[in-house]
Amino acid sequence: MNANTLKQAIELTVIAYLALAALTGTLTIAVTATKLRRVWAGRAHTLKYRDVLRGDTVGITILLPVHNDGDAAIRAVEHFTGLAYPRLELILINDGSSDRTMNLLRTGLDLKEESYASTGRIRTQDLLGVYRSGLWPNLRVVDKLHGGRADALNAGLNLATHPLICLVGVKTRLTAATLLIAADRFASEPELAALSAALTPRVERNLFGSLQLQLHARAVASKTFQGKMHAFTRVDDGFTVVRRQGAENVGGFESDSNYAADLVVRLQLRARRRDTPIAVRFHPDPAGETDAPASLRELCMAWSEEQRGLSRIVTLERLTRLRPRHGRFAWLTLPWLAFEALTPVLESLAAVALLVSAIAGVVSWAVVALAFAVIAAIGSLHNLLLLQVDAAAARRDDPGDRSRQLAAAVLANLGLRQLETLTRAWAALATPRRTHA
Amino acid sequence: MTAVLTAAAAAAWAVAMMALAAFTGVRALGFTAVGLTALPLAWTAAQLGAHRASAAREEQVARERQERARQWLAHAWELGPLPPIDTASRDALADLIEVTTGDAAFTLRDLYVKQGLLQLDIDEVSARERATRLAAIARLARVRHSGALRALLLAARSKDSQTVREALRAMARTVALAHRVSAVDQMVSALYVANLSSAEVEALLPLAGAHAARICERLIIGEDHRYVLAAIRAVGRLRLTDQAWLLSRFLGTAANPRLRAAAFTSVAETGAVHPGLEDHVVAALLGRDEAVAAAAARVAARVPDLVGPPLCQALASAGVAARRRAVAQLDAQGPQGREIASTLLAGQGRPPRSAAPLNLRER
Repeated sequence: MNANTLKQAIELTVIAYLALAALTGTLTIAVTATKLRRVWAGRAHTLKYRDVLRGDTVGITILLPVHNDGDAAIRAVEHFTGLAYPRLELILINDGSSDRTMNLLRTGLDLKEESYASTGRIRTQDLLGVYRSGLWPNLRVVDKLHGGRADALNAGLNLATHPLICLVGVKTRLTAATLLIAADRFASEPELAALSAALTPRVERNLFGSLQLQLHARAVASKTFQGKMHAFTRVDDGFTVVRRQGAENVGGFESDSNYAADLVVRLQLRARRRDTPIAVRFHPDPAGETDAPASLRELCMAWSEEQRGLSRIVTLERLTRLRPRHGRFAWLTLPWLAFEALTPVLESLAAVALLVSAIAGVVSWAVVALAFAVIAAIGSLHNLLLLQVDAAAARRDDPGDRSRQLAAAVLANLGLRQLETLTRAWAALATPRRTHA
Repeated sequence: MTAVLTAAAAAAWAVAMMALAAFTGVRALGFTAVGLTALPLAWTAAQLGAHRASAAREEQVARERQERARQWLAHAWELGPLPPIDTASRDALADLIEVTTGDAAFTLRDLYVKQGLLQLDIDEVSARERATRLAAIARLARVRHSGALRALLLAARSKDSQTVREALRAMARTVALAHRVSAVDQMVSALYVANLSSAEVEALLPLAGAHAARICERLIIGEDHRYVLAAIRAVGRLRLTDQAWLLSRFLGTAANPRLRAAAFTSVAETGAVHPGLEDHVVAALLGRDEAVAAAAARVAARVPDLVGPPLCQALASAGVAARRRAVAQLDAQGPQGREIASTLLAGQGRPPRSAAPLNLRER
């Protein structure tokens, strides 16, 4: 291959990739806007909420694992017990905290020890005791030996009595109607195995906060699109509702990070093996709020954590099961997951390769400059569109924030996006090493 | 401002893309990329525009309904004239009936009938247009007048599944308030006509309120087996202790395993102890079906004194595998289950190692 042919091949690859990225990105936003418009239209009909309130209530058990975070746990309990849902049970699992968490819970929640009967059969670390709150009778606290987040959730799952399990974090704050909507979706769709929804990040009113909202809007669009393509598996640990029976059937939780997504993948595999219908849905309308990372370092850690969870799902067990009999899950969902896991690595390598080619004189600097101009322009365009879609979904219309958000929409492409790609690429490459260790 | 910036970004992208394509000599690819991307771009803009329009419309409907509700309340207590009868007005009155109780609800429901709104809804239940039909059914579900049951029963025969589902929800809610026994008959007939899934029926039964017990009874006794599983589960879930005796026929080994497991679960949930229950529990615990054994273990954990002695006897003659399965199932039931398991093992000359509940995981 001579230099001219190589140059042409590189240029053609670059332009084809950029065209494809522009098309898929815009398509993703178009699908999200369409889906959200249906949700917006659905807001006018409040009949469903009332039906749920009037007695058609499926019981929901909220599982809240805690480790060394007593104050946050009590604040979370105050929030969840205040949710207006008629058949609600809250199980807080103290996963072997080494600080004063259990003492705080005991005094702050007026706990009294009670005998208990486990309904599940998932093996966990030994329980030290089960307590019921004197303040909120539907709250139980499980004290157990430390075994990790998955083990804590399994202990809660064993004690849960309601048919639906809601997984939340201590920082999650749900809106009043969230559980009602979730229960209604499960009651009306028998094959629904898991439901997740977007949680709006609680951010500071500064540029960093606006940048985080931008990232959040992009993540919501991506998940909505995957949901529409029936390739959605990346449910959020911050808020996910699953059927208890389903979770027990696959042996409970296995992974300490991205545990909800891991569970959903196993639920899907089991359903495909047994040839039973299964649905996993993503609700793009915000279900509540959660704390956003407070600094850039924390944001990078969150990206790494997410990427590691994704890579774990893809590399460790799932890709070995690409069998035709698993249907759409095998030929669409799993390859999609794999593509998502590898994208940061591929994008980083491509950017380096393009720069090296330019330095070596294979590709002209004008092509490199134009390629980066195209990336910046399409990125800004996507961000601006997402900004409008997200503002409509969350009903945000604060003129004071608008200029900051517009600036964030443009600036997100000039550094933050690249940082995310590099962080994720590093995490993806580091995952097999960590797993092996 | 946002729109202007978006347009500027779109223009910048199109220019940069075309320039790149021109520079590399693949102008056609550039045109294709810009053309193809423009389509979803235009679609998104249209969606956002439609959202703005629908949000404005939604606000207007809410305002209208609020105004009509105020007018209806004034009219009901003879403080104002009759409001104009339109869709907003009908919805507003149905909403008021749903959220009020006692005499107020009775007065408003009476007004709904006297003004001919109930008849209007009954007529619209058989309308050709789906949206009209569903809106009428939704109103009837809120008004809950037993005069609409016949119309809803007819709607349950519809070919449209959404209409069927909504009609049955409306029926169940209406039956909950009905005094006539024939309302239960109509509900059961509608269920058999509708051919729903078991899960849907299970979700529907709690809506029937106090009449759920009679409906469950009819579904269990009836020859049609489609909804037996849902009815058995509902007996446990709704704690219908008066109907728990119906479960005994499903506890024996001859029953379908799914029905059997559901029946044991419902027995555990209601706490109803039938004559001969202990024999069924022992047989289920020693059986091969895991789901049935797990459900039976739940019952055993709740009545240890009743189940313990016969289980001890049966285990003495059972195989090692059956014994291990039974003990594992009991172990999963927490301290009570472990206590029975400890007693059983102790009864066979293998006492537990400590006074604490047996920790089977250590083995």
